[in-house]
Amino acid sequence: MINSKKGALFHWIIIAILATLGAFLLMSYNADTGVKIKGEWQADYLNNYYLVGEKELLQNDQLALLVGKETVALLTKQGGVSEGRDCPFYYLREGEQACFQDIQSTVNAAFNELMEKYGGGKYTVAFEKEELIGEAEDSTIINSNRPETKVGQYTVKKHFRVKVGYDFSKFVQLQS
Amino acid sequence: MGIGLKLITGKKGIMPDFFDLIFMVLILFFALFFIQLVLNSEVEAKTEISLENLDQFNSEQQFLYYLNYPVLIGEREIKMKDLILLAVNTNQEELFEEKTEAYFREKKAEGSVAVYNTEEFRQEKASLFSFSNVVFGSGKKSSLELPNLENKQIPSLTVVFSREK
Repeated sequence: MINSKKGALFHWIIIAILATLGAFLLMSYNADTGVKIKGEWQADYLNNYYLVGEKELLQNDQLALLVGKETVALLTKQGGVSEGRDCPFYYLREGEQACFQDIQSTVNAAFNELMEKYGGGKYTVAFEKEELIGEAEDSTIINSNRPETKVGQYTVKKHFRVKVGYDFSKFVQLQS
Repeated sequence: MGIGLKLITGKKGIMPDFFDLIFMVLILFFALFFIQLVLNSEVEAKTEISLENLDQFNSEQQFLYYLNYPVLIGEREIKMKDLILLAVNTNQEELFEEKTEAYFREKKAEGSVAVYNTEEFRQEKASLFSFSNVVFGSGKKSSLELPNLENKQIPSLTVVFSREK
């Protein structure tokens, strides 16, 4: 085979083919063929912004519910009076002067004080039957520190509506 | 007489030309075969990533659905997240298991839920409560921290949810 000219040629051709295939496989191992991941942007948006935002809203709802219940406990204990505040409404009870604050602002102030204590945001709080409704003052940016942000800023306003099981309008009835 | 005809009729020319043709066909065959292989594997890998992303989204969405799922405690309707807090704060593991099992049964689903004290979860300690109706879970895991202001000893819970495909 070594002495044969044709044999020597075939010998090199086989090696060349194998070497070419090897080189091709090596080069194509990490080659970018231009095939894109379908729905990459959409999946990134849903998983890293929308769902994270939904989770934060759920956490905030839970915090608002617990703070709301604590607000109910605090105000009922103090007879609807928030400590350290001026008294806009007075009434006489068994010859003594007692105080009734505006329940709307009292609930608002008490809730925000507690919320601040637990690291929550600022809210304008209203009540309806046994529910507390909070309108967030500030927007929260979701995943603001992600380096590969593709969608700009995704923000949520952490509004809430939670059932605290107590109707604050009873205080309004007492005032009238 | 043309050159082509000369090649065909020429005895000396037939074999080398025939070998050239076979080599060309073989090289083209292998080249196309490997290009096809590379393209296919790339498409499959990208499809796999797309499905993974979709699966992650589905899993997280089902987790949120589970936490907001309404459950009845006596005549009172509360959400599953409130039930988890109630079960932990009153140490009623059977209540958590009963309602979680009912959820998975109703949804005809397989999966697991584990509730941790967040501090202990970070230290990779054992869960407070857990439920599972699968032997070997392979579903995507989702987790969420829930504030628990009513319990000073466990101020935050971490719920880890996994649902099989």
